[in-house]
Amino acid sequence: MRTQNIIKVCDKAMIAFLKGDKGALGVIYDCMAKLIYSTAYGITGSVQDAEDVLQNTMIEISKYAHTYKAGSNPKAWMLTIAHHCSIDVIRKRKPDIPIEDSKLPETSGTQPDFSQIEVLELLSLLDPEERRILIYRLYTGLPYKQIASVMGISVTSAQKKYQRSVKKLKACYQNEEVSHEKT
Amino acid sequence: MKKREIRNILKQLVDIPLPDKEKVLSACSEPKMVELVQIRKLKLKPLVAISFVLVLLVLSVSAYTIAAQVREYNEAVIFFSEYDLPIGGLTRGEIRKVYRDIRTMTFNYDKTAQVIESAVGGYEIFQENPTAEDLKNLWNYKNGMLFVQERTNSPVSYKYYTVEKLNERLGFDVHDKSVFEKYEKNELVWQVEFRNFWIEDYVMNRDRIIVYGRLPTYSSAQKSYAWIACIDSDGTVLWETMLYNGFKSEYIGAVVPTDEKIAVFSRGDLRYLCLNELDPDGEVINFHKTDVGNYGIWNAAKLGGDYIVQLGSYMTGEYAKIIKVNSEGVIIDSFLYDSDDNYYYVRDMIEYNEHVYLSAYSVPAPDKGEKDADKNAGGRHDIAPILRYIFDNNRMDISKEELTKLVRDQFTAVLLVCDPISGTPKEFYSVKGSLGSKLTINDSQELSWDVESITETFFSPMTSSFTIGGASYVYRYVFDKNGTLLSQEKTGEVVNFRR
Repeated sequence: MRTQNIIKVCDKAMIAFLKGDKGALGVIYDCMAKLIYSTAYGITGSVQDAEDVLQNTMIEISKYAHTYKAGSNPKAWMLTIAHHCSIDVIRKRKPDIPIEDSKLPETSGTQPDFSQIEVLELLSLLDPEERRILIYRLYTGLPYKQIASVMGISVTSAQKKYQRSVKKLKACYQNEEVSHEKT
Repeated sequence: MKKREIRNILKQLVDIPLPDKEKVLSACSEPKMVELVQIRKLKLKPLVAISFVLVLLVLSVSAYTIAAQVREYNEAVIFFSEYDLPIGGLTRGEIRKVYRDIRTMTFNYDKTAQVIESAVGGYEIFQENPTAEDLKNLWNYKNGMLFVQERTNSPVSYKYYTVEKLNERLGFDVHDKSVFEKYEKNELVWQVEFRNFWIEDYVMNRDRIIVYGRLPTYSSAQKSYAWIACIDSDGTVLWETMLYNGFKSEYIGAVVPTDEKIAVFSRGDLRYLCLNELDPDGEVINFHKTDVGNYGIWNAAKLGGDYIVQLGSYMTGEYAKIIKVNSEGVIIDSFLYDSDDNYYYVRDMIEYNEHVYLSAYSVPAPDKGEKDADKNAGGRHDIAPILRYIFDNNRMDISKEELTKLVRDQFTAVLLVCDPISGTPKEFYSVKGSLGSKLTINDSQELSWDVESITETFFSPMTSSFTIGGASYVYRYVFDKNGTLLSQEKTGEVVNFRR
């Protein structure tokens, strides 16, 4: 579904939810769950934490739906809630589980899906804030203004942090290529 | 590695299977039916937009001047956006003038005061015409450049900062050197450079300065070592020592210098509390580590022949865990300042007149029912009842005045005077509506206690539904060795209040 469609559908669903339509929350889930869950997984590196973030975000959306302003951007509003829920979940977890050792999501087969290892390896090279910026910009596709609003920082700061995180990844991969060439 | 490649790897996140929908939605609340506030989007019709542009072009101003003004205006808009300044009610010319006034730090334009006042919550501009100095202070507060009044009567002050340089191989800035400076009556006396570490803090040891920090790193794969150095009163570096205790990551939490040795409390690999004792020449003479789990080392003080150390954890919300460590580094006792009625948050500690003084603040403890509801409060125990009042009563538009009264009723600054042997409080001082802050001993050997008096607060759900911001004025209370309050003054310092 295209971004503009998601925004329109979610806006209508929020209005319907506030008018008493319980099924509207299911519509919001269908539109946003994938984005919230996969973003949370990228940030937390843990399937369990991502599930917690998704559930907490849906709970907060239903609990504070009356604070939502109809006609505004529901996607940014919900991602802001998900962002705060991710931070809360990370704060509560025991600190010494590095992202590299995070539990991988199980697929229907008996073997774990190794494609997620590449994502986690990439993200483990960044600190938590750089990870969030990179995911919001390159995966979620948010413009800098919305990233700044979600993370509570200035637009300029968001731009600088994003550029720094991309440079860091490029530098790390360049070092790897050099060491591979040497071997 | 190109951005496209990074994006392609991130796209793998799409393939992660979702949890069960019904299970997730089953925990959600029922909808509350409320009247909606519609946001009307203002859209300029294309014809009107074109007309506006044409009018601009036929103005009797040279093309060059227009370009310069437009450039300045665009810069001003970015500047206003970056510093959250309101543009509403100002013309383009006024926006440019305010921008120029702030950038040149002149503060002569009358509209500047209006802009800054409405941007900052928590600082009251004087009712008579503000002076340029007042506005400069307010502006500096707004931008995190808090001015700090000297806590002693001494004209000497110190400053440290980091200088970075571009690493062409990596493509971004890395640490070049850390600089430590001594000033006397605001004149630079001497300057020292350290290339091995970036400075995180310093303590005084009579006329010497103990500086400490850690090895600069730019990747989590690198090891990070703690460093400590000693500078004499003339600016000569007497020694630099790296702590090599076998950790992947180690940093110094607190330093307690005495006449014979320097006790350095460091944290190794986010779980070990280490006591490193150094002789006056910087040689490590004693080391002991204890696995304490995920607690930060927030403060330490001498206590007779032993030490007391404050451990804390933002994750578990523990701010008042004090342990007693003997001179060997072994933990021999622990205190948790708590009561049935209040939670205590310790912020500073000092040994004075053979007692231990703890500067803290307290908030009322919730009753059992509220405790269960607050389990997932995200650690915001101290403002949980205020947030609950706002959301339960749909008071998202609560006024600053009403909110500030609620916040001030919630917080009390506390100074605990504790027995050096048992650690039990023998007496305390409290100030309502405030938070206990820094403790220092001034040049007259009197105890100085800073208290942050919550002055004004605001709540902005569009920014964050779970945060209260604002500002506090700092008051200073001075006690003698008998515990007699000698003086109290409003220092003029403003600090951020944010929970």
